[in-house]
Amino acid sequence: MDKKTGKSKYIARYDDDTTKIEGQISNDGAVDSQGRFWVGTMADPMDFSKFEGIFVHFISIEYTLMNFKVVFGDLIQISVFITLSKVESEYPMESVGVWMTKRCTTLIHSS
Amino acid sequence: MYYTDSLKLNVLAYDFDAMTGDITNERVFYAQPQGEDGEIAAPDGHAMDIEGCIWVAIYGGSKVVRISPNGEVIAEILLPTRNITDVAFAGEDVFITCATDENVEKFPKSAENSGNLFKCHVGIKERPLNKFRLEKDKIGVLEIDSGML
Repeated sequence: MDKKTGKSKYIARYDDDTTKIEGQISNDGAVDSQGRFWVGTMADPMDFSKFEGIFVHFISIEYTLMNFKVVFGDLIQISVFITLSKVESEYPMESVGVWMTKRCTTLIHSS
Repeated sequence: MYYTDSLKLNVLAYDFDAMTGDITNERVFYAQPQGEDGEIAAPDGHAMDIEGCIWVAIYGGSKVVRISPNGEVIAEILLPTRNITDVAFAGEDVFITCATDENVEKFPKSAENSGNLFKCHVGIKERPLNKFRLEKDKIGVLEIDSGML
């Protein structure tokens, strides 16, 4: 963001042609020892149309390439979907939104 | 690398190759047991201290736990509300946030205290955080399309 004008620019997007991740919002992230920013995403709790087939991607924004690298995306996709199904069956729909906002924190620590 | 999957009720650990950025050898580092009140408790936000231990907020568990690099809980901070969301260091203190407890009938005291910000002296500092590096000529590659906002 330009502090003088207030104008901002994206450095990366989830929904571009290469990643095509939709209905996801950033949750938590951290920077690794090489300066990469890693961010965990979660389903947008405000976007209930995406609740079916919900999943979580694990993404690193490579500062050298400036595009997304999906790591273990499928693995986490499967496990989270199963867990969410369980949560949905145990809790009324309105409380699922609360659980969704609580999911997934990523932190990296490396020297 | 530590990765908390709140819905799976655990914290995962990975081997991390700093040069390539690859993460491998996924294993469960910490599995959250069910709360004593019979309610589900889930690990949430965390921070790491200079001894390599992570301090994990336990949502639904009324506490922050300090977990050693071996995966053992070696300390905990008990709080008067259930839904603890995150922990952040400030010097040798930690600040702890929490979310609303909507189960007022079963947990009136927790509901009364929910939403507060807590501070606790822990006598240890945070491990220094890394800085984000972005190649300058890459900044602004993607212009914001005002029509999408």
